[in-house]
Amino acid sequence: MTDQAPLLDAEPKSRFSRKTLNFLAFGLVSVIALLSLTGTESTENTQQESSAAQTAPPENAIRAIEQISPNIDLNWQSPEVHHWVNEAGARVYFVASPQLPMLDIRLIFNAGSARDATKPGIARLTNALLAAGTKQLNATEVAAGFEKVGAQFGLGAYRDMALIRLRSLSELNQLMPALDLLANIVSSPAFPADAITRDKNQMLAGIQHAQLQPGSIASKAFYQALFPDHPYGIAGAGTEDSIPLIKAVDLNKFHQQYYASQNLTIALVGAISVNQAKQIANRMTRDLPTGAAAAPLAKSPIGAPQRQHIEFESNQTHILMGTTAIRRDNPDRFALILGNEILGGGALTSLLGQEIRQKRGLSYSVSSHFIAMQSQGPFQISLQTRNDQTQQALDAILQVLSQFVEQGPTQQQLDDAKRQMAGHSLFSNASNAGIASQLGSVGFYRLPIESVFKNQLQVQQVTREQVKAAFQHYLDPKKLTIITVGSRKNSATDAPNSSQPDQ
Amino acid sequence: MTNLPHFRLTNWFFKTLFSALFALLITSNGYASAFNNTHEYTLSNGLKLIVKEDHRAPIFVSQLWYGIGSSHETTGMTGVSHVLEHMMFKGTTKTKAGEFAELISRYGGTHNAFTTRDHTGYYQLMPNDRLELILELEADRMQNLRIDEEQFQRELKVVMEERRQRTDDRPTSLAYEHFTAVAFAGSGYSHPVIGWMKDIEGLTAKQAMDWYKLWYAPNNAVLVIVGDLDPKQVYAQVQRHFGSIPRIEFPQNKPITGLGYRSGQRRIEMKLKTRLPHLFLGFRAPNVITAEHPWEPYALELLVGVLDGGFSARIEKELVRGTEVASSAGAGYNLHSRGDSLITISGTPNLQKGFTLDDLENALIAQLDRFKTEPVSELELARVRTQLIAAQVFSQDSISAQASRIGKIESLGRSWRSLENDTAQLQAVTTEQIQQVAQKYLTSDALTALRLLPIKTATTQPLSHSSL
Repeated sequence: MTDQAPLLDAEPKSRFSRKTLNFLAFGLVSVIALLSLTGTESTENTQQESSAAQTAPPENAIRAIEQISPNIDLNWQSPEVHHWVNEAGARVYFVASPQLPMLDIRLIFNAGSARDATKPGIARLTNALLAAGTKQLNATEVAAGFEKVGAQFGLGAYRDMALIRLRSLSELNQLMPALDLLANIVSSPAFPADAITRDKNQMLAGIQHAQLQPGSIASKAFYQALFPDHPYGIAGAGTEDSIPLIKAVDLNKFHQQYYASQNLTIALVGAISVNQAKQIANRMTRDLPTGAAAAPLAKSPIGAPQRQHIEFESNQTHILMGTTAIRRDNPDRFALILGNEILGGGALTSLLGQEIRQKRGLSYSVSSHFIAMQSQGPFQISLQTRNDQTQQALDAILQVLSQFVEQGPTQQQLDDAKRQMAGHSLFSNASNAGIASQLGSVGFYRLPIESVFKNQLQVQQVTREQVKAAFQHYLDPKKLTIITVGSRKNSATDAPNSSQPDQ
Repeated sequence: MTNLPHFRLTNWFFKTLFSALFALLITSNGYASAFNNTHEYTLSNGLKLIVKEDHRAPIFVSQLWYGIGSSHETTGMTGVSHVLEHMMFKGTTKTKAGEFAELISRYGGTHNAFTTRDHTGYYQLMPNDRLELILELEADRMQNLRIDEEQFQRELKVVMEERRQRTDDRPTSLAYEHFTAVAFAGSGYSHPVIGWMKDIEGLTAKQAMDWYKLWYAPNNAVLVIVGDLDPKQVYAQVQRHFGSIPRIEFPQNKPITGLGYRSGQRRIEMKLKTRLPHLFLGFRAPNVITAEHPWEPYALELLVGVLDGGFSARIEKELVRGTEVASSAGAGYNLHSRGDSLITISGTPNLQKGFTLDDLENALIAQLDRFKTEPVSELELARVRTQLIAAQVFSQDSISAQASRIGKIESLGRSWRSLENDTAQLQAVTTEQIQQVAQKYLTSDALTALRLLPIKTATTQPLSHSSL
């Protein structure tokens, strides 16, 4: 039920978290059904066009659509975005949000696993160990320091970004201790030996766990196939070989180089003034290492497509297919993201959702994404299906994709997708958390600050021809890398309730 | 769907402890009640409407909660509530299959639905000038659903894929399903929300339709709308769309009882294809809805917070760091549900340090026993209370979270106003009371324990996972 930002499909949701198993246990009480559309059997949407408001509705039709214009007013009075580079060279973004007595702050370093170099896992371990203490404070004192003032503190490292996030009450006697503590742990981590050993053990346990998750196996294989000699091919979680090699000296060096103020974006949203935001930003960078912004990553390769099957005893086969596509600052991204909304984005009214789930009942969830990053990231389509339906699903995906790339969207599809994206944009601007997330991305990827609240203006300009041209330029359906993880052995049996694998 | 992002903070804590401590905000922050601008209406047919104004952005969320979930189901037809939830998007006498989703998308909205043990809910997030569309669509499918046999069969396949994806291919989920089934043996809470696979396979369109006719009615529903809207206008629109839908007589909503609290220790061992062993410990206990003594749930709430309310709490401090017996561990308790809750403690032993499931279980049990003999410190209690206060403020950032808190408690038959009393209740709990609930509920003859073990070598015996 979180409000999701539409343009922020930048980073995979893999985080180092001790609480993952916990969530498995307690978090899955509700079964959320993805949505459905079966109305139009054909991807030539003549039916959809006739169901728009221009024709007289039949007796029983939904009346509300006669009263409401589907167009969304994009001139909503959005708050002002303040941006400056502070005295230490950090790029700061601030939006005042006085209604609730709280502050969200995000520190984003260009220190993701793309910087791991020869020892995969360093970026995540460095990030995780920020919570393990400083020279003055141990891990429990750090945690208690946040918790006793009710602040929520979070960490995460992805391919591009290393993130530190704090949410605190904005009353000063609660806010100031939390901010001081935040600045201290980011600037002066102690990397204590016992914590290094403990977190390395937890990462090793995480690697073992991932080896039995078909989704994780597929994702790892996909990135390795797409980015064989590129930093995006690095396993951010580390490997069983690399984790033991990581020493305190590596972590200190990584921190000195990449947790530098010049390599930092700060996003602030909350009930504080611009002046306070300036003071807070300066406090954050006061004791940070000084150094340069991280060097740009090498251009991502577009290698030969690969077809790889990994045998795994499970009920379902995980399919991941795609290719290298775009950087975050690519001007074609508006056309591609809009087109993707139609092809396989958010809602299950997408072409892939209709064909794979609604028409054929092959999968519970199917989706496609452009993961636009500092360097060219992937376009990917993912789904899970019962083992014996794998080929059928692959054929169906390729058919939908080929047809879309060849023909582009209809005008009705384009108009609907524009409204959907305008709506998403409103929703993600409606909470402090949503705005902070956007500020962080805009700052990190050095996009114009107008794109925080106004990126829709560009999306709304996109034409059918631009979508079609962009898809044809970036996607050749015949040259996709395809990874499947599942059991070919099991697929001979047609039993829908096949038994748990026995080894 | 992608997993929710997991931060190091224990999110469950803030989820399960949502219901607490608003009045305190006035003193601690000069901040008014979290329920400012909340308006309540009841239609003559029994539909409850709650509108909460939030004018920060020109949008609203609408959540329609029906008081029906997997715990109402009977043996052999588990999963019918959830399948019905899927079918609610497959057409009515006014709309064709898929039109609901198509219209929401076309008009720039986001929507979905959820099924739990106690409820089935439908929600939409929309720009604030199109409430009319939502109300018309929801009123329509409250009374005019059609279930086509062929559509039903196709959707059943999707639900089976959903089950494979969520449960059957995930050892920890599968183990948790069995753990719950045993802990709640003899009650509707033993059913998995999605249903046992064999039951799903056998469901029919007629069963789903009968279920719909039995439970979907205005007097078994709560509509919660939060956003940039005028409550009086909302009420008038809701009256116009829902006012004429007849109320129905539905079966008595019997409380969930099942076995008594101390009905003997139960132990399950499961061997699945996993690398990491896992332990679940559960103790049934009353909650705010079921409690005979109203203070007990609040004492349990604080106990669980002391145990695992963050990274300075006892489990993290003493077991994950400290002795390092656990690679990961956590505890949870649900303050509001129709039937009794389960205090659940779970974790994975730290294999690299040579610890076993026995070691982990002994360490966790020792932590529980400590509550019986040693009063918790005021410092620990103060931390938990402060976190709860802050979490109340934070939850105001999301209109969906605001609506969920109201919808959940209302559809359990309690007023959202009762959430405000939770504050005083939590403040009133003494350290002696925490000791008392530990002594009463965390006993060995109330324990359900499940051990999930990796399969070491190939065996020829397949493990059934659709029945116990």
